[in-house]
Amino acid sequence: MEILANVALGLETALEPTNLLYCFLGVALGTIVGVIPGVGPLAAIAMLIPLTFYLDPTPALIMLAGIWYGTTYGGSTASILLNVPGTTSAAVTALDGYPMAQQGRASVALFMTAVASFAGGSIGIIVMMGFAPLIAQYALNFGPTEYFALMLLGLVAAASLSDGPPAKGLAVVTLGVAFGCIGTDIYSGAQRFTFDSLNLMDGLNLIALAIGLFGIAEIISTAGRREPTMVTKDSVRLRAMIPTKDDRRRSWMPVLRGAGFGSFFGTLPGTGPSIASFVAYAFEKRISKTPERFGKGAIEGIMAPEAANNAADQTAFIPTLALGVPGSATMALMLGVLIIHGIQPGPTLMAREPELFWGLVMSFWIGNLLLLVLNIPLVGLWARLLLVPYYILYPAVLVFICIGTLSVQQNIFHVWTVAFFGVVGYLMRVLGFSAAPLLLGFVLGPLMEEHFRRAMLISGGDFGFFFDRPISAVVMCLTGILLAHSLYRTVRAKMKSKAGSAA
Amino acid sequence: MNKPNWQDIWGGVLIIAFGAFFAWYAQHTMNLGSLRRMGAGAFPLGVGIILMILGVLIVLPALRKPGPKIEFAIRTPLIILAAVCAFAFCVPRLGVVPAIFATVFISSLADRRLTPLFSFLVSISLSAAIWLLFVQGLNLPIPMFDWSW
Repeated sequence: MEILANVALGLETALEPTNLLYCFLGVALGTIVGVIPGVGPLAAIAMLIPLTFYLDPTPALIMLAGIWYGTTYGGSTASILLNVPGTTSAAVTALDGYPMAQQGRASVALFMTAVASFAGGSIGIIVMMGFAPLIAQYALNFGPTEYFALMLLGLVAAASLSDGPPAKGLAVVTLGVAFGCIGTDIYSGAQRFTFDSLNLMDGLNLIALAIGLFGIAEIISTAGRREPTMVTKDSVRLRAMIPTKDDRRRSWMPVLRGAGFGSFFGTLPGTGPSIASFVAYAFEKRISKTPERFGKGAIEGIMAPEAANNAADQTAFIPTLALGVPGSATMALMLGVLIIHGIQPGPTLMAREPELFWGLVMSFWIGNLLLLVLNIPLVGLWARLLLVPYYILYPAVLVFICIGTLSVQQNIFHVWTVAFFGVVGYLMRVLGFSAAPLLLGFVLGPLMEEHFRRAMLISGGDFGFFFDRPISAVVMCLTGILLAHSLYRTVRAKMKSKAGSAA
Repeated sequence: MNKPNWQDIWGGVLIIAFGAFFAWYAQHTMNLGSLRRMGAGAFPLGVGIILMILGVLIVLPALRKPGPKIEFAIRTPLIILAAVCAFAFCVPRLGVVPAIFATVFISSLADRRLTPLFSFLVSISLSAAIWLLFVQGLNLPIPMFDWSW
């Protein structure tokens, strides 16, 4: 049994003291980040990457992944206690979680969401263990056309499914691809957009770019903000957590269905934990015999989305690790970390780095168990975090960002890059662009160019080549449909407003 | 809601401008090659053109549609950016510790609840922590003080 050998290898790797320590650090930091509203996983991971720079790739990835799924556990806490989602993927949890808290059942809600998170996460990991090796096996005979097509689909999906007009999302992704062009051309050695600066020859630094776009933007919105006054000692005081028999009976199926939606949407490009949790909630409400209970503290309304977002967190790693094609900005960051450590992502990753892959997967089990322990007995402690006036932290966080960026290559130029992308990020926020797809374009852009040029070389400059092979043809058509749909939405919005102004 | 959607008009115009510059610069400084053997400039040229098209697609619908008011705070972003720039400026000239002081003191201007005494204490403890972690722990060659000039 090959899978058993892999599991044993992974478990051995994940249980090494260093890896165990970084797994714990990751999930604990993730929980904290998740509990605090306003700090998202993307910003947190971007700011903490420098910490992992001196680690081996395996503990580095284990820790960053721990932050990623840890935030999803913590995210429900603020949703339930304050009606303010700690992370976007926990936004729907507030719909029924907060009414439960108002009915004095906050502890039950927190307990049950931790259980739902664990169940969802577990199902997600099982799906990943089953499908990732299959997909990687299948993808071994993918050529440049398939990769280009898949990456293009990933970018278009991420852009057109993000909120706001699709043209804006597509523009942001393309902007990311443009920034990815900067540096030395790998084929010809020509300098592109380096403006004769030695610092730009290796391209823009991914870490500095991510920190500037997300970290600085986060601090700008934290500094000087008035905290909501509704946080009182009373609202974080917790009582008995024992769910009733009725709660338990009602929770089974929503958790399984939620995990199903989560596993599915997690693997798709452009969708992810947030969309998965919305769909899972809407589905539960639709099939419920008593839909009127939803929004008033129905336990199904917190179980399904929490199972869904945690399952999606885990399955998001499938395309990232099995194909080397990340579906979201956070996953692009993970892929970037792999590349920084000199590991070539793609279907051969599992064969070349079995310890990294299986160690990471098994660390998900350990991390989820740790999170269960962290979240059930200690939830009161995390809830108390909500009382910390965190405006006092931002000067220290800012210094930490600067010194972290500096430590990466001891090059002060990267700190200037942070400042530059801080301006870009703020400008984008002011103009209503969401910045996350930029990161995806930045990481995928250079890979896409490489595959595109290779495909053109093989085909002798014939675009039809992308439609000659069945998989790339199907993926290209899907991309075309998505683009057409986006265009249709843009045009329709225009017509509607025309009709509106005429009336 | 004011009409037209200035947010998207500005955004789209900036995208068009950036795309135009990108395409122009690629065409003028890089070898385009042929489709069979694409040069260094071909892909960036394409990216620039796509950006211009998308920019137009953002601006056109925005001309006839109402949009949200552009909310533009000046003070906080400027202070935070100044704090980052101060760090980048100070490290090669004065060393890390002065850079930390500069960053903390400048950034704390953004929130009136933070006092100079608080900033001073934060700077001291951060300096100590960073010295322990980066210089003693990781042996990074970052000078804590650099008065060599």
